[in-house]
Amino acid sequence: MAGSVRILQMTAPLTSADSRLAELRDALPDLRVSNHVTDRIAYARDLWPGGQIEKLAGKHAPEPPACVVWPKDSAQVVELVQWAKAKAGVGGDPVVLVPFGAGSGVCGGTMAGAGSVIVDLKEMDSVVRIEPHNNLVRAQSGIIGWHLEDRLNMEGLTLGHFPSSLMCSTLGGYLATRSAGQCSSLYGKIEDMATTMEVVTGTGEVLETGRDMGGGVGPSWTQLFIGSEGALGFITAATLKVHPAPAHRMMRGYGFGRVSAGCEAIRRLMQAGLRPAVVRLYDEFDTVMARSSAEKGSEADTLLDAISGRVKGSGAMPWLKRKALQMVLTRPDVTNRLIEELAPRISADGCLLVVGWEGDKRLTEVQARLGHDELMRSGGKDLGEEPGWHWFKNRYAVSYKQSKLFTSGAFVDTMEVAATWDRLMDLYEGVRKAIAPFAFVMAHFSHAYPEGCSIYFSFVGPATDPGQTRQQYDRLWRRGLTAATRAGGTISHHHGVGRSKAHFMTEEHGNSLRLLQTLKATFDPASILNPGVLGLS
Amino acid sequence: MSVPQSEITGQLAEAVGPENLSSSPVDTIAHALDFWPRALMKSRSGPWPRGPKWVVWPGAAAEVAHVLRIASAYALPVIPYGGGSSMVGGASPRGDRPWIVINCKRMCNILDMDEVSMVVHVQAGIVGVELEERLNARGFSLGHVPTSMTTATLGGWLSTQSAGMLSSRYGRVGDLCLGLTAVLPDGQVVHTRVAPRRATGPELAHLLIGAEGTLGVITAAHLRLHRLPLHRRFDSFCFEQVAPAMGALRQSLAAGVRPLVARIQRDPRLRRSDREQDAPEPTPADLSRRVLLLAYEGPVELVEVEQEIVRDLATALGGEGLGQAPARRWWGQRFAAGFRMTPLLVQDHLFADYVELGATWQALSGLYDNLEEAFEKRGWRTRITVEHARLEGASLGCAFWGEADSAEAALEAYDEAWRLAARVCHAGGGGLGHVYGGGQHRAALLDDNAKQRLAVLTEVKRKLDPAGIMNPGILGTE
Amino acid sequence: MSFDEYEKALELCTYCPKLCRHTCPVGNAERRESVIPQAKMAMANLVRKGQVELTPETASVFYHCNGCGLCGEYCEHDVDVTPALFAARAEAVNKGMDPPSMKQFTDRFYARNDSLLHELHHTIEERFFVEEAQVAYFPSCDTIEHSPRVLHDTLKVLESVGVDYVALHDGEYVCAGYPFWAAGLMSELSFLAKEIASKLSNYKKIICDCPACVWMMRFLYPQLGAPISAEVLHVVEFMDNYAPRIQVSSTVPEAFYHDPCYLGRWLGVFDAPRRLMGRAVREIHEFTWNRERGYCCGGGGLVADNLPDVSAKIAQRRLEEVMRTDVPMVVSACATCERNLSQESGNVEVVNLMTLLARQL
Ligand SMILES: Cc1cc2nc3c(=O)[nH]c(=O)nc-3n(C[C@H](O)[C@H](O)[C@H](O)COP(=O)(O)OP(=O)(O)OC[C@H]3O[C@@H](n4cnc5c(N)ncnc54)[C@H](O)[C@@H]3O)c2cc1C
Ligand SMILES: Cc1cc2nc3c(=O)[nH]c(=O)nc-3n(C[C@H](O)[C@H](O)[C@H](O)COP(=O)(O)OP(=O)(O)OC[C@H]3O[C@@H](n4cnc5c(N)ncnc54)[C@H](O)[C@@H]3O)c2cc1C
Ligand code: SF4
Ligand code: SF4
Repeated sequence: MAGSVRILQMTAPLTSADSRLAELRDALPDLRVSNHVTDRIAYARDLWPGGQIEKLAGKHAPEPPACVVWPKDSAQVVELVQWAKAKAGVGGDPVVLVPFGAGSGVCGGTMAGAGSVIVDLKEMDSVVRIEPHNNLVRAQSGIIGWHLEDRLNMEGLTLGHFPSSLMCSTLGGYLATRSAGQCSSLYGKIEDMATTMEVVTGTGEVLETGRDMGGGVGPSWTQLFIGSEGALGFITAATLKVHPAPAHRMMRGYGFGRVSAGCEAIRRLMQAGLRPAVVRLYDEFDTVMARSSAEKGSEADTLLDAISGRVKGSGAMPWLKRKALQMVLTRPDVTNRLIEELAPRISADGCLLVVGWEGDKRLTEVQARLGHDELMRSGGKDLGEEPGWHWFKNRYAVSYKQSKLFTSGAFVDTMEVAATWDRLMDLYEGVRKAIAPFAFVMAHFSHAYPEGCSIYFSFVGPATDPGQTRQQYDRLWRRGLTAATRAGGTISHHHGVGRSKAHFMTEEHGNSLRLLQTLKATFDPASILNPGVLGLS
Repeated sequence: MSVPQSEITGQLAEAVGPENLSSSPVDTIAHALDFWPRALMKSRSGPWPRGPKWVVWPGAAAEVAHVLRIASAYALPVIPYGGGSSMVGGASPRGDRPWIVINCKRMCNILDMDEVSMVVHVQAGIVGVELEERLNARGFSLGHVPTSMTTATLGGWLSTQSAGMLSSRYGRVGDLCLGLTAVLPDGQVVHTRVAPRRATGPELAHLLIGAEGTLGVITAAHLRLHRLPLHRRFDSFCFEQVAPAMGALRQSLAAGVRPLVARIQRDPRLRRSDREQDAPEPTPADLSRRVLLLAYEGPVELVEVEQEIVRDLATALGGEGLGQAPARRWWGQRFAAGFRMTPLLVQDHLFADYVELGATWQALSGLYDNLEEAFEKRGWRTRITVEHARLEGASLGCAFWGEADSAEAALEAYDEAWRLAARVCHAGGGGLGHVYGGGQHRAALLDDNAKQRLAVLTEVKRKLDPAGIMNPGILGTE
Repeated sequence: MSFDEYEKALELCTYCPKLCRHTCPVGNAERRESVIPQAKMAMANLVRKGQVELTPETASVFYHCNGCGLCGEYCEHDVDVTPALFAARAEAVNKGMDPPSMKQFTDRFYARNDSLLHELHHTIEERFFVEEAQVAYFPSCDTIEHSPRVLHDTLKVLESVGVDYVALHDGEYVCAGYPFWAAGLMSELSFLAKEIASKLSNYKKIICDCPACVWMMRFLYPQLGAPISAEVLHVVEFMDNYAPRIQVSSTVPEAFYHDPCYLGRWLGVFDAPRRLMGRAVREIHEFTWNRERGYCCGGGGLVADNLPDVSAKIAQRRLEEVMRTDVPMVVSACATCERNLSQESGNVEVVNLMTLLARQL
């Protein structure tokens, strides 16, 4: 029946898909599988914005997977791997297995091309056990982040992992991409949370990577499978550290005249031995965006208000606004310069730094006090609690901006880079300059560590002419990542590499890439697991 | 196998310079043993073990690379050697083969110090205490303080994923490592660069961290520093049993307290040297009493709050505050433990070692009791310390010693003690080799899951080291 | 209510990073990307724009929706998925592309209606059917079919508080037509709505035990050109005024309260049932997902009919939280919830609020 559906721009022949499905049904009769056309479309893309741009051009599933399978336990994953391995041995059309969490990845990590077999792990989504006395939880990898957090909350616990995609991503995805949440400076990134994982490698072996209490003899396979983006194995379950749900939370905003001064303040805060839960510094322009995200107006309104010096009340001319948006988007270079000029006027309080503290009441209070003093010593202006709570209340709102922008003829994407403190400003300036000709750029600094910090660039560019947009978009990324590596930064702090950044792996890793290739050769000798991600074939 | 030894000697001399190469017994004997008690015990009555054929002291990664290429060409086994303080036979030659020992200690320079990011780039052969002193001089500290601080090197720490006495606050040494340089068996020098917490694939430094020299030689690393603290505070609590002491510690960590030191041990007031002359013999109740020793550092207000939280939790669980003295005294003698074992090893009929296992909190107190009981049943003495505490568990450091009728019997008893420890450990859900690594010794004693993980290491090693030159026999490799 | 009216919503969902996916009971049960709200809406959009052909296969995903509205609670664009997907179903029906499971739906609907009508007169004494009452009780299909005793119990509770002026509506229909809406059979629905509206407009007040019926009559009928002049209330809303008068002889120690989607989220009635329940239950346990964010039982949107396995899984998920406790009872105020949850409730009793009250009188 699948063959009867006409889908524009779908180039792959549907017949091969059907044969793959038949083979699978034959070999693994108990495995849930589908090649329903709606599935092949829905699984064809993750949330890579380059793909969203293609969607604007009507290309919804140019290279659909052959089918989707839902293993119900790791034994079925093993069978699947064995099957794929056997196929690889015979030659012919190689089988490609793609571990799939929730497809919220933003780097094409699950887009392995036409004919691939998507392995949706969400049937494996139970919380295996909660051990409050050990501060541990064991969960299967297919569980959606929100559901896991919910379950822990019921026991008075928290994982402390709050990516903006908490509602639309899985534990396995976090582990596979080294994800970071909003409270990373207190609870760490996902690699700090996992003590051990169960993985099914590309050889069909089931490996427990470590011990419940992390550590042990030999290299940490846990750390070596975290970030493997589905190229070394399927992460099927993990043990994670959990904490008592915070009894107390404090939020506050501070203003800094320049973004560099704000960065310096964060550095001192982090090096003073304090552990804030949230640290976010917005650059001049992002400050305006951050402070206005609650108003339910369109993105364009905020943007334009910002540019026009936040003249309120003059907004009764939608036509003018639309025109202005067009202008902004077609000449991002001009706009960026304009903003630079206007920035000091846009936000009288300067760059906004949001700092949050949480946990035990006494610890929270004393740290907030010490942190406050430190920030004031660094030249911060106390903006009170309001900007802090404002951020807190809207902390997931930013994700909703995407569809508004895409549907108003723009593209939007983010680039999260990082560097040690000594290079941070070079990184900031370098990447900003590199992107500016193509898109309207803003940035915030979050995920701070004693040794450095990550920078999260958001950019909005015109997507009026689909074909050209993709070209510009690709150029933007190339220039941006080149600038990042030149400044001594990394190409990704928490989104991963996927396919969209794969060609930068050599710049990123130099010859240590060989270690990664060795892992690939060890764990996936037949190259059946998600080839293409991380620059691995 | 006939090896053209003079030819190799010549080539090695070329690689590192003749002054940095030795086959002299002075050196080979010195590198024949590390601090593995079993080997030390054996050497008491038996022959001094055969040392390596060559000892080289390369000064840089390029020289290490040169040495490894020579070793590869002749399929010679190589041991990367730091301070030789391995307690598991990781740094001593085994079997009859002609070993090359690469003594890393000439690579002992601080290459760069980024005081803004608080990151130091340092060569791996530097001895711990020297590194720490040089950092201290500039107002910084690494925060990694194993008992073997004065002998062990950075390379040894990284290769064994060492845990120091401040691990509750600063983590294991791998947590402090932001990047490293290593020479792979074929001589390629690879470098994992510093980029805070990147998400660009697995963190590759972890392939070498904990690999105990089986995959390559670590020559330098970037390490995270912190500022020397202005304030340090101490506190101590006494509990009737070990379990509530563990409970208080666990709850404190869960509350977010980050003690600098947190350990549970016997009541130090019972120690003979500390006891009043005419004090009565300790009762069983005295003996089952345990003391929680704590140190804190950081901003003083924060430290005070941390202290307060722990005090509340400890008191609620029946802990009696002993004030700062016991903890402070321990701090003053913190390296003393390192000297306690040697006297137990010098006499032929004695045996001693230190079982270190890691376990989650729930498993911990059972393991503690079972281990103590199992050893005591055999008439062997133990002193168990709870250390390296963290959110999900802690490690038990169990010093044991005993007496046998003869040197052979002592060795047998030693092996039996380890088998016993392994049994108790596995039955109770603990993990052996939690602190000192596997070396020659622990690999065979591990549980099946841990063995499987080492089998994976062997697989990786086959790819990186097809000639099998890097520390073969360690961690179950061949 | 044409399909194109939802253009904005459909477009927003198409480019949305799946932000409400964690809520969708169907998506959670099936673990299938193509049936999360975003993907269903995107498929509807592709079909609308002609980028994917509308076929029974592509249309099938429109039917994987309970119409629970939970996704909307997490949507900062205020997208309302249910009506858009139901409009997509209508589009499929209009183009003859509705999936095979929907064939002869109208016939089946009326056959069921007639048999349940018969059933109703069989179970309820004729004296309760009165032509000229002030307040008419409109009995609903699921109640008659699955929980007929709720009818007796409701009457009994009403009687106990001295309300004797309620009579059963003696009409030809026992359903306000929600299934037609959910099936995308809009012309059938309009026809039925007008029939029912004309009959019910004689009353001053109508009470109904089915929250979906109430919502239909109150909000959808006017849009279909079939306004009802009488006030339409759910039994619980009506009874709320009399809550203090309810005298129970005994109470049960503890029970969970499950918010029916249409009573809670759609009609906004959250406190009344809890107040009533409080008369008979000493401790009311709340689900983590409750009130505006109440999780569906799996019974809506024809999912129970078309995808019984999915529906059962949803019920199972809803009850997981209860199963982890020793609480022996879940109370709801909707026969559909009761039916759907019961199939997975094991030893836990799922009971209608009216039945519980009647039992404790
Ligand atoms: C709106 C939005 C906000 C975001 N915010 C954040 C944020 O704050 N922080 C952050 O870190 N990320 C963020 N992301 C990125 C994304 O959510 C994360 O990368 C997430 O970890 C991906 O999870 P997933 O389950 O959707 O994985 P998928 O997209 O399904 O897969 C991602 C990659 O991981 C692999 N993979 C998935 N599951 C497994 C498994 N079980 N075993 C092996 N490999 C697997 C896949 O093959 C693929 O290569 C955001 C994304 C969006 C759309
Ligand atoms: C008294 C005493 C107390 C101790 N206390 C502690 C403690 O508190 N915490 C703790 O963790 N350990 C402790 N140890 C164990 C030991 O000190 C550690 O394992 C230490 O890390 C070893 O360092 P080293 O430089 O002496 O290495 P070595 O003993 O020389 O070597 C150890 C292992 O690492 C490998 N290796 C060494 N250098 C390199 C390199 N540059 N590249 C690659 N591989 C290399 C060796 O091949 C060997 O396998 C103690 C030992 C003693 C004797
Ligand atoms: S309903 Fe809202 S949150 Fe859900 S997919 Fe659509 S736009 Fe996104
Ligand atoms: S209304 Fe309910 S069932 Fe339908 S898409 Fe939204 S959450 Fe899913």
